[in-house]
Amino acid sequence: MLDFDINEIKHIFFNMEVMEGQWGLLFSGLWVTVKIAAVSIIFSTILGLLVAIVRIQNNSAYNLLLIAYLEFCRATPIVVALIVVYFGLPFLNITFSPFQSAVIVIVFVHTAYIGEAFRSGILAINKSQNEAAQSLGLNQIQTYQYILVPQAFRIVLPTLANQWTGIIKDTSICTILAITELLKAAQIIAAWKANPTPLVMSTLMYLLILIPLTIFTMRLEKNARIKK
Amino acid sequence: MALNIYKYLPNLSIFVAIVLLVVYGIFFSAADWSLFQEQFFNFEKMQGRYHIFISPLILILKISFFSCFWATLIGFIMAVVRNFNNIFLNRFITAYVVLFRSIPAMVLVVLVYFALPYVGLNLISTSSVIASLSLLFSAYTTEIFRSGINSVDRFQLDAANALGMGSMQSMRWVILPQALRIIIPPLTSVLIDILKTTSIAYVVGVPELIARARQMEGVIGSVTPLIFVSFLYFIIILPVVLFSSRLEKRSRRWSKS
Repeated sequence: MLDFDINEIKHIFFNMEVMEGQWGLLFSGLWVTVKIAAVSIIFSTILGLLVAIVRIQNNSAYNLLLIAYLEFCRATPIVVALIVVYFGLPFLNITFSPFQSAVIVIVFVHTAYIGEAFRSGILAINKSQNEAAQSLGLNQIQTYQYILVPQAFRIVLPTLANQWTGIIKDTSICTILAITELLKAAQIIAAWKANPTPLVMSTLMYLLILIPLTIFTMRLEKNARIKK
Repeated sequence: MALNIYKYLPNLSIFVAIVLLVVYGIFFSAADWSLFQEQFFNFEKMQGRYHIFISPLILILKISFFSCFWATLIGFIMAVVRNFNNIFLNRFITAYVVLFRSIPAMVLVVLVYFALPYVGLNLISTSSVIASLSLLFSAYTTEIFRSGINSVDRFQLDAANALGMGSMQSMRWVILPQALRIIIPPLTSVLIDILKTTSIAYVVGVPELIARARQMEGVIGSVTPLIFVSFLYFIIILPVVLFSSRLEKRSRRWSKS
């Protein structure tokens, strides 16, 4: 039966005695999560930008390849991809550490989405910008570097922030690998102490990182809608 | 964007070739390709075992169906309630949306399945997954329904009032039919996300596709079941993905004209 005695709830879910001496493990888990998220965010943003630039060249062969890649990523759950990379590839004598496979899978999947976002961002820029840049004598790399990418960044920022939030959320899926990230650390402590306080604490840590990001994203989205 | 591509094409090809070479060099040069077919596509060993995947397949479809149903229902109700412009209800709904947009699916599923039994709320694994997915995705559907309802011109509501319709009637007969056009494309992408997210049910011990595949992998000593399962997911989700991108393209054309 459900009983909502406040002391009881506090004793079960916010039992600080349970957490004594365990914060170290939880914070090392948090550090692993932050590392995975940071590396994945950096790589997938850079690669996504490259994918978008290649897509915009309208070369049919590359486009076909990249569209297939995009649809593949949209239709594959990250859990499945992680398990294939981490538990499947060793059968071919390719072995990745849990950290490496986490980063590889997250970057692989999110690059597709970020590339699509950047592509629509660059396409949304007025064509005359490109022509003006060429008439000023900028070459193609300079055009991208000084004219197109900075403007695209501003247009894309709401989508990009959303994807970054998604990457941070997806790091929690890596708990299925043998890596002690935040959720896994919490689960270990919770199983050992037979108390759900660590789970609640880890959830609060996730929320502490993610709620500001979500509010920021929602505000950006709202601004973008008003500008339209 | 009409860039002078032909001037630039050789460089681009070299660039892509170098990237592919580096990727190949890092990941696959060490691979033992003679094992590839034997380990990854060994369908001889799978023979007579395909029926094992039927019940988990139905299970994940069930989970997605119920999660989708509840998420849509909750989102719809929240969006309609939001339209009343009651300040406290609005605050509550905004907090709800922010909370469930922020929390990772995996964390919520683990929390519901492993933490709630301590207060006597024992959900079986399947229903804990359905509960958490419904909560998570109702945040998204709320926003989708709200933006759909907001997209309908306010004058339509005034006109409905002038015709003597109550707020429920005008919602049913005037606003929703027009809002639906905006709502449905993003709703299909939520469906895709739900289908993909059901795979995390693996963590709480739901006997779904991945769990079965990993068991079978142990029995026959080959990764083929996993490949087969990812293929299954792919052929379930891909039609929805294609359908959704077609709808989105069409709605973009509408909004342009």
